[in-house]
Amino acid sequence: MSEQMVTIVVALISVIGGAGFWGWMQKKSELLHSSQAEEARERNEFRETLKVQVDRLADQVNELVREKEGLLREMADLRAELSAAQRTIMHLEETLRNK
Amino acid sequence: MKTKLRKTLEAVWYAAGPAQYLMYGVWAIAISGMFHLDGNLQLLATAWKFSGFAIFVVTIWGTLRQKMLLILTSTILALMIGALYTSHAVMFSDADTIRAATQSHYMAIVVMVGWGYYLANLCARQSLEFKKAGIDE
Repeated sequence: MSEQMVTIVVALISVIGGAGFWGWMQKKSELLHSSQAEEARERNEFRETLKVQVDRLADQVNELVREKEGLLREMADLRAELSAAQRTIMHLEETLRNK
Repeated sequence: MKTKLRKTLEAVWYAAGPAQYLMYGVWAIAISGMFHLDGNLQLLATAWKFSGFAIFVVTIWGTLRQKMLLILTSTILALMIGALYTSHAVMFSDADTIRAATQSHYMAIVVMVGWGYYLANLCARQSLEFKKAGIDE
């Protein structure tokens, strides 16, 4: 092989090898980048889902608190009514005993 | 100690300031003169030297893509010169010169090629980040 051919072949091999290596590096970077972007997207999605669930739970807690307050109020009314009824019964018993 | 090492490596991996690119240009200018190639091959070394100047200019005024392409060109030129030097040095250098300088020449080529690929890859990664954030380069 002549000296000129050697030069051309060596230059071609180094250019093709260098470009190939760069292509591989570029592909690897793009894959890494896209997988990181996918991970970030999944993390955000998970966070959003959690946020929705927390909001829903907070609504349920508020509803339960409201219901509990209503029940407490009803219990207080019932107690008042019961105590009035007890007073009436006691009064009637007293009246019957005195007859 | 491990944390410091990791921090340093991370800082190097993400060091995207212009100092590195300018330094690479300076080294391309300096190292391209080390290779004693003859005839037309000397033109390649000259092209490598001018790519160093061009990296300087593009780092200051050019776009990210121009910078990446120029660094890649410089790297491929370094690779070509390294390969041609390996195959041709014996034809125009005497034994003493080869013995004394070969290791330094190979070391310089390895450093410049590795560094060049790293910087070009850094530009590519920056470009991807810009694209992701929707920022115009």
